[in-house]
Amino acid sequence: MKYTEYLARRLIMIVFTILGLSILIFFIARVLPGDPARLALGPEASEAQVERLRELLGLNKPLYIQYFDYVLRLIQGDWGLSLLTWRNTLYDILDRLPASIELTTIALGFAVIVGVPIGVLAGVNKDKKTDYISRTFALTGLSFPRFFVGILLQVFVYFCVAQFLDWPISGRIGTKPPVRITGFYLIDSLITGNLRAFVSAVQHIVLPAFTLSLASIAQIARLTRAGIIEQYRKDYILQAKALGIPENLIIYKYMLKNAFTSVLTIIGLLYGFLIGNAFMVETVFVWPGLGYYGVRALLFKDLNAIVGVVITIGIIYAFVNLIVDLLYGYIDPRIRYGEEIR
Amino acid sequence: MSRAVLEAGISESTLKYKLEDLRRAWYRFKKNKLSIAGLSIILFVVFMAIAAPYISPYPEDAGAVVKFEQAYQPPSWEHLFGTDEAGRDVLSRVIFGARYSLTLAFVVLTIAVCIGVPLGLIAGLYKGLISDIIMRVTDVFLALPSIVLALAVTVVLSPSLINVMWAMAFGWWPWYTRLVYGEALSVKQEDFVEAAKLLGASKIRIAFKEILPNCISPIIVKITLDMGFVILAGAGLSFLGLGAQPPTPDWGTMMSEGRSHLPTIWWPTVFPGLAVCFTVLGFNLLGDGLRDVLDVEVT
Amino acid sequence: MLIEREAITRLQAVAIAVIIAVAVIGGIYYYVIMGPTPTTEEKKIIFTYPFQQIVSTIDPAKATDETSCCAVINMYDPLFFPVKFENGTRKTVPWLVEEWFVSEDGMTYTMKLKEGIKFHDGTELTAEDVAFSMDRMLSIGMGFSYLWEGVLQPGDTEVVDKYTFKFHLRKPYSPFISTLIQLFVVNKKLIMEHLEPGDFGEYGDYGQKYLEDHDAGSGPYKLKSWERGVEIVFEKFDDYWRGWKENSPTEVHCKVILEEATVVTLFKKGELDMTHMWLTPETFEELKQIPGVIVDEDLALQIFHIPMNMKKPPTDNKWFRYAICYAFDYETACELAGGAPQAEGPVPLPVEGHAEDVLVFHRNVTLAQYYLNKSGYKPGEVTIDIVYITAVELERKICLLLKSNLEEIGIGVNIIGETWGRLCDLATSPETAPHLSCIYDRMKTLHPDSHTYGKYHSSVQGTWRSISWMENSTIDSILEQARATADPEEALELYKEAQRLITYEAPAIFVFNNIHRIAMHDWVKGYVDPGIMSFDLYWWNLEIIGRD
Repeated sequence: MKYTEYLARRLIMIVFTILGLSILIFFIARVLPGDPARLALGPEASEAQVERLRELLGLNKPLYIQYFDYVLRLIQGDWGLSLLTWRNTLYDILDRLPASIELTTIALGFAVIVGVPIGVLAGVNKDKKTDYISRTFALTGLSFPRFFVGILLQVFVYFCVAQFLDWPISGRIGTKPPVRITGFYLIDSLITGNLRAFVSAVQHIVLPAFTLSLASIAQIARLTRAGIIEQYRKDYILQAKALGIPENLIIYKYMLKNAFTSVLTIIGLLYGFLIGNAFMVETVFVWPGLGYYGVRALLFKDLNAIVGVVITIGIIYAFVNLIVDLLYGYIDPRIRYGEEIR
Repeated sequence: MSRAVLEAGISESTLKYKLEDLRRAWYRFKKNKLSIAGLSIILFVVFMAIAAPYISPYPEDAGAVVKFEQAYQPPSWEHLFGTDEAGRDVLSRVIFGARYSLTLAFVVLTIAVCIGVPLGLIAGLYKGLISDIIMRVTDVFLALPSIVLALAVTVVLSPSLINVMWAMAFGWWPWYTRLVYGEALSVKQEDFVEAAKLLGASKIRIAFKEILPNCISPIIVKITLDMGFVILAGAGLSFLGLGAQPPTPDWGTMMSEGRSHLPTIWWPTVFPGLAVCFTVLGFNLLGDGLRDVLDVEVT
Repeated sequence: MLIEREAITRLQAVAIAVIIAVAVIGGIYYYVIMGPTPTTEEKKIIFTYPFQQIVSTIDPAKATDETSCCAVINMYDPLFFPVKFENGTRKTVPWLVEEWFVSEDGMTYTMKLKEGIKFHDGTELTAEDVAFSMDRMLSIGMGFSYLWEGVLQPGDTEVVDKYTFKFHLRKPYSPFISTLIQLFVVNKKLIMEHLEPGDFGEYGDYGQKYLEDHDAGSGPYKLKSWERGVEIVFEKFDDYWRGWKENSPTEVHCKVILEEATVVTLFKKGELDMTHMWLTPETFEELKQIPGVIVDEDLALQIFHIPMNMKKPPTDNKWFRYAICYAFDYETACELAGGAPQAEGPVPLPVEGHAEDVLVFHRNVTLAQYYLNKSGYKPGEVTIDIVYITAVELERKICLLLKSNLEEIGIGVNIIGETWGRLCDLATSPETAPHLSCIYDRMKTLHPDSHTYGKYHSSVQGTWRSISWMENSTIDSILEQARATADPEEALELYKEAQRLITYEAPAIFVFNNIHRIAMHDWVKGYVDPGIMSFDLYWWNLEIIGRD
């Protein structure tokens, strides 16, 4: 009972937050100096032409009317024309979303595979040398600007690897993209049996995914470490040790599972966070995802695209948070019936 | 341990206990190797920033001089980090760059804290409409990654370091509001606060004597870690062209200038980047160490 | 068991037989009728080219950027075409038009089309299509329609007979013929069949929705496929009215590649037959050294200049502007641009109508100090803003150079990197327009009008092209006269006089005349650059010989 009530409340909150977000970004975008009509028509347009397009785009109406118009059309699926592609922004975004999702998923997967063991190592060996080394290692990953890691990798690959192996340092694929079924190159190429495309897609995703994962490795490691340390204090560990159960078994079978709840929440949060923050990596590697599109939209004042991207990120963020909170509440029954969860 | 002492106390004796704690904390801090390493790095960078004109081999290269004949020279004994697109010494510019990064972090966080903390206190103390409005607005701002907000604002304004500072403060204050609000909420339930209220203590008194002291530790840790993040974000914004303008030797700007000649001419981009990493690592090590020492749980 | 097997009823047997029969017949049908026809396979020649930005539209009434115009130029034909001759001169020549003449007063242009020109769907191109295309462009009001603002309205194009039509101008306009290189003729019948509801009365949306994804042209290539943001593919139109050379590309793949480094890598590997023109001069130098690579270099119809805001102090002071013009180091700037020649006034050097005797500045610090003194400003007293486009490295270097030059005589400079969009916006008012900006200006027609009237007449104020905010009645009246003169020779003389007056006002630092460079493998033959944006990417010119 309480669970569904909680769910309903959260959903309503999400709607309000997204609404608030849309107002915020709508007004920022409209207030942005830069006449979108003029920009769309290109450099040579005359005043009269610009004025006509402004009428067409409804830019002369008062802001709140523009906002209502916009929200109405948004719900119906018309996200406004992108001034760069002259298409419904929704389609532009849907075109690019799989690229971002693919990148984020692989990056996060990698971060978990590397981050969790580092965290376990650090937690089990708390305050010993291994702890310090792994923590420093993880922290270093957190200290590099993502785009800089990308650049370093590009330089490294160019000078060291590219002499022997033909490794790409930008773009999403080198051959013709596979037939679009899901939009994820890795999946689509496997489904259609297009091995060349698959290999090329893998080659292209390795560097950007690694770059994106670096900061997350640190956060996952840190949380795993904290979780493990906390578990160590628990009674059942003491009992298990007293019973003579081998150390490794204790760590991997019991502690990890319990420590994993907090890691789970951060994975969820990171997912949303990465999708929104991947734009730097996407820019450096020319990865045609949502972030890259968003940055270009911002720089070119493509109003509808800006608002569309921000709302998409907001929605993803909000829903990921919600799912994480729900999962957390589900896993840990103590929370479910408790007070407000933040 | 220190928290337990704080919570048990009544105002006057808390001060004496707090001094005790600080000494204990400093002892633990000294033992924590990572924090020491972090602190050393930061002190080194601060020294670089202050002493820049004296320790740079070519201090005038941080200004408006151009020597196009010397452009793009690889690292050599004359120019340890090589020269950039206008023939300027990269090492000197990297040293001067410390000034801009540190100033940026300091200013942004000062503004963020000055806005965020009071808001959080107000929201925590005055339950009701004001609190709801403040927290909803905070939620809206938090619905986006801070750097996206900062990006949006910098695009509105003319690109410059000052505007980047305002934009980033815009993106960073909500975290402090939420932190303080959380603390305020949890402390409000405590008995000693109830006691204080019964005794007729005003809300302001409660805020400063009970809530804030509890917040100080997590705030300090968060500020330290945030210094690193702000420098990272600032470098990113400058990299996109939205921050400090040429010929300012800001690390992010330098990286963006060198970008088109990658990967063959790598030194104008890589060395400023390493400087950023080094500085941020210092803040991260220090912050992580502080977190351990002050026994704080901050995400 | 045995009993069950025999129990397949007769009905089931018949059913199975029918199914097998249908399958066999179907298979034969499919293979014979639909299958690969054993005709002579035309040799496939594929040409691959990089686009440095995405194609935003393929509608000829809307295209204005380089990649969109490239698509349009290959799928459609314009009335006239810019051509570069062997000796380097460039002229606007009749293309779809067979012959034309203009009335005495310059208000009526009568033209006759070539006969037998086919659209891609087989329909013949007639005067109806021309009138429709012009009306369409003017009604939609985007793209290059501004060229005819105040000159033509929808309905002013009269269809006389199947191949003859007349333009009835609202006022005399001497550059008119040169502007017709941007009038691309669309297939009226095809568009009318695909109208959607819209704002244009009986013409609905004028086929805008249809032309978002289809072509309605007569040009040498048809649209084969378009994956937006990734690649656009054209295929040869066999019945093109100009015929075909033997080794012309049968298919052209234009890939969107945003990073210069990727373009260079792919080009070196041979996966791209050409590069685009946007690589840095250093990269072209590097490419020149590679055997088998040809770098085509010629003067572009493009100047790089630094316009000064003539309505904002201190750049509103003429002597102050002179001081700046004398302080600037033109030689170093031209070197940075890869050896481009210094510009002489606003009109690019190779254009017919470029005035040779305009005022040209050269670096002279003494004169600079003299004029600064004369302007009334003391050294160290003022600081001005210069805006450059963030993405353009050469502009940034030139700003650094200028800052160094000006600080030498005591003028402070703030360098600000903006995006193109913001600069366009800043340009709209004299208060927001920066003191100085970095602008490349490329000609869209082979006529000095665009770089004189189009930049310095007081009626065109408010865009980046006129960011100088020049307001001078003498110059205005000469330009108006030039436009109104029916005789083209006389008109050009007036344009030259205007250029002299303009440069005397020092509205900008005219830095260099850009050099157009593009690299290709030696198996690409026939490339020619007439100088107008995208007209060099008219693939019909090319032949691929000696590649495999």
